[in-house]
Amino acid sequence: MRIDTYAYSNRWRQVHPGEKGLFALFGLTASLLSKSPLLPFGIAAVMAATTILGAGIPWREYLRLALFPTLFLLWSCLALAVSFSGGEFYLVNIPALKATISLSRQGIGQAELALARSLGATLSLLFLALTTPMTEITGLLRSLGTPKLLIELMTIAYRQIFVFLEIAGQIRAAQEARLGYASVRIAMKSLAGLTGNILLRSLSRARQNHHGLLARGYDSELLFLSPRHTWSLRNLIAAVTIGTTLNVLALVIRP
Amino acid sequence: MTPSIIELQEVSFTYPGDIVALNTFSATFARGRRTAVLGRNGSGKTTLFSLLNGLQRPQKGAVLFGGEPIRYDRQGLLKLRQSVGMVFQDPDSQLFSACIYEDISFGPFNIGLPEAEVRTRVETALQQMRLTGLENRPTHSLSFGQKKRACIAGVLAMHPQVLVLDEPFAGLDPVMTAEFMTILDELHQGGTSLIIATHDLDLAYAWADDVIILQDGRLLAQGEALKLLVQPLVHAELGAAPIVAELSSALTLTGTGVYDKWYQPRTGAELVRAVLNQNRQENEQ
Repeated sequence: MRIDTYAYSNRWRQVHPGEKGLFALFGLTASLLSKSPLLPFGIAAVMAATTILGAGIPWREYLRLALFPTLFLLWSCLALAVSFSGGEFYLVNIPALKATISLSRQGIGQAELALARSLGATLSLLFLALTTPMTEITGLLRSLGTPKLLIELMTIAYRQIFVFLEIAGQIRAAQEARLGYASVRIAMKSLAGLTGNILLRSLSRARQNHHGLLARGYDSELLFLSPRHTWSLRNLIAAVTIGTTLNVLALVIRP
Repeated sequence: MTPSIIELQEVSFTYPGDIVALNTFSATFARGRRTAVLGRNGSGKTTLFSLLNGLQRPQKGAVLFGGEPIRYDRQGLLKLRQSVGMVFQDPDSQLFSACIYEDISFGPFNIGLPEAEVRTRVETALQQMRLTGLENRPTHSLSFGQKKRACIAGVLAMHPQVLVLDEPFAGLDPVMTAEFMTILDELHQGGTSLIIATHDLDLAYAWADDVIILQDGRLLAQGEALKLLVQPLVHAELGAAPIVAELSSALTLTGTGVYDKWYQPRTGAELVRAVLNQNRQENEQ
């Protein structure tokens, strides 16, 4: 939800979503194409710098948001580095299983590259998520010819998330006001009630929404227009130049 | 008598499980007038409203729009829904997008208007509902009143002849209500027929030209607001009478005549003015 707030309030809010999308996409492809771990780490740094210095996202918040996926990546890459079949760096010997755990040079290299690529890609997407509201990303995907059904689902699902959070919050507050979370036992029961209630509410909500759409002439296709944004030549040139350079570097640099 | 815009002829509607919502119900909504629909909870107001816009189809009887029976095929419904705009009580059941610009463009786009025309209409509707500057904010960060205005903008952009509003003032603060009334009056002056459902008798008395009162799915009474809302029959069914009307008649009984041949105070402010006027006239004599 914090991401959503920043997407609407950052310094680059009015920048054309296409320009931001292009920049993020270039960062993403360059990270994935790169064969040396150095470049994706560089891209990650560039993306972090743009998001913090350019779009004006507070660095503490940014670190918090970036930390979770980064830790996840670190743990997953650790598994890549570890080998059971005898690597150069000996770690543990388990005689009962007749196995040795070690690190291999090749494994470490692989892990490093995977980590770098994923981090660069993740931070590229985080840049887009923090600077561009969901409705504009949807609009962008729509103008790129994404299937209509997908766009309709994204539009409605995104709106409904907030409607449901509000409903869930209200039910929870009502339960709490009557000591519904006083003990673990009662809390479990209350939570079950909450979940059941949400299901019922979502069914009736769906019917109401359908009526709401029908009342305005809905005919099996969700037609609407997105607000217009103006392209800025300067931003476009910057995004393309930086993006192309990164991609060329990704193809050129050999490990 | 002004010609009717929507007419219901002996309409019956029963929900599954033998829940009778409307029972041989007949009523007429006059063109260009402000009509308030009153009735206790469960008297059939919501069902009545969903019939006006073709969301439900009467099981018996007929609904006429502009003197013609409604056609329930695709084209007929599209035409009806363009002419009769419906604003729901809960804004969350109407706003489908997190961007109100997208939401407002939905109705006019469905009519099949070209993109340029839709954009002009969206801009006009945003201005009309005093929403300019909010179109870049996500729907979930708007206040209840703002969401409500967005819903109305989405319907106004379709240029309906009739605007049907279910409890438009419920949940609004007095300032918002007054602002909202001004907007409705502007629309009324522009020739739009307005139909609202409300539980607020004082508001109906102050605002409406006509009232339609339901009782258990039947028509209890229909007529001019000022005449009908003071009748004992209505008082008995709805459990209250407009306070201005009650005060006015009490004042008349105590010798302060606030009624005139052509003038009848409709709001508290008007009543106060009438009393002060009366007082001054007596002092002058």
